[in-house]
Amino acid sequence: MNVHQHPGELLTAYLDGELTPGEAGQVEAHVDRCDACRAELDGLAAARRLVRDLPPVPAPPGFTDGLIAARRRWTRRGGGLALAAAAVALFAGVALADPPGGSDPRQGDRPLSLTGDTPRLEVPSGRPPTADGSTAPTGSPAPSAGAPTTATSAPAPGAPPAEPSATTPTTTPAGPGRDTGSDEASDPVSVGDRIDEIATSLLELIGG
Amino acid sequence: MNVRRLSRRRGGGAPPAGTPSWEEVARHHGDFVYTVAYRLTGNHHDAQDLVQEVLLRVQRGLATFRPGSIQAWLGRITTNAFLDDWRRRRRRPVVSLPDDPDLVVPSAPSVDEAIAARALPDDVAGALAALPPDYRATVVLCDVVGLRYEEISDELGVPVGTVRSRLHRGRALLRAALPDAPRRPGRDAARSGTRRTGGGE
Repeated sequence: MNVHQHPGELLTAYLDGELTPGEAGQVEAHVDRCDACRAELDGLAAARRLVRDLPPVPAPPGFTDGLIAARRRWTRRGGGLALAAAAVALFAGVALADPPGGSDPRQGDRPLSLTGDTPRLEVPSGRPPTADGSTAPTGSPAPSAGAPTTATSAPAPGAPPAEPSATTPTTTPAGPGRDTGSDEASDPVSVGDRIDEIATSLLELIGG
Repeated sequence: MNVRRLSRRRGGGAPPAGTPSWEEVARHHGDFVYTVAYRLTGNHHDAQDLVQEVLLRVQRGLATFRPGSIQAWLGRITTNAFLDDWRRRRRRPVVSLPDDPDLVVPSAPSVDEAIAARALPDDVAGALAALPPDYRATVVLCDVVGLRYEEISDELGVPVGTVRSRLHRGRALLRAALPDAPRRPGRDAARSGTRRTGGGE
């Protein structure tokens, strides 16, 4: 560009320090004599600064710790195979319960709670667990007989077949947390529910 | 630090020195990932799903992690996971606004200092969340994660010129979406430096 051309996108690159000194000098010279471009530069600078000044958004209390704890728990139990089965079940369940084109990612007021009846947790559809050799249950001895079959019919994969615990995500009532849709609010109970589901998917990879 | 190394890596070969464990990543950078995820998705529910997907990818990616800025690495993973998910949900490619070289930032001259002073984070976050996803991803990579154009270009697989264009339009849309304020001269925008010296605040 020369000094007489409106810089356009170069204004943005100028703000980001992505111009050579020569280019930057030309932008400055132009802006000094062009009110419209100066105004445009100010607007771009304001938008840039506002985004950069946005505060951090920490994870809800217990979210990260819950993921870590769940991962430790599952790892200690050596539940990889059961998890693989659960992941298969989850994948199947999601495929059935979540038809293409489902939810709008912009939907801002959904509750945090995820309960077993409608698993929304998305196992990436491009790579089902069985495509991963390390988690394929085919031909491997199951830790408890019939586990994959029963897991497939379970509405939520949070309970490994080898785990007799009475408190699994599937037993969590659907009521609490369903109607508290405040976007900034974090219901610890709901987060806990989600952590268990999320952990199941997360641990898909640990089985190997 | 009492952190157990729990990640079991696949494939042969030890990870490079300095490679964090999965748990270290989750514990020390979980909030950063969450912030990026929240800025990309605009709500906690989708942010949590995205964080979960990112941690899956971290598990896989640690084996190939090369020491460097772990936050930049996590920011890339998060943004790519976001875009992958968005494309999958929509079952069609990301739609960009037309790359019109003549597009001019809506000119509401020099009210920007006042806007910057008055805009609430929620307004800004809302305006950000309303951007087209590929613009939003580019803005987040630049202004939240702090990557250079070249790095964003590599990460998104688009030319540097496209990165610049998306940032320009994204910021113009953000500026246009924010409420107006009394006119006030502002010249300090023209204080930024040149290559490798600007960009910071």
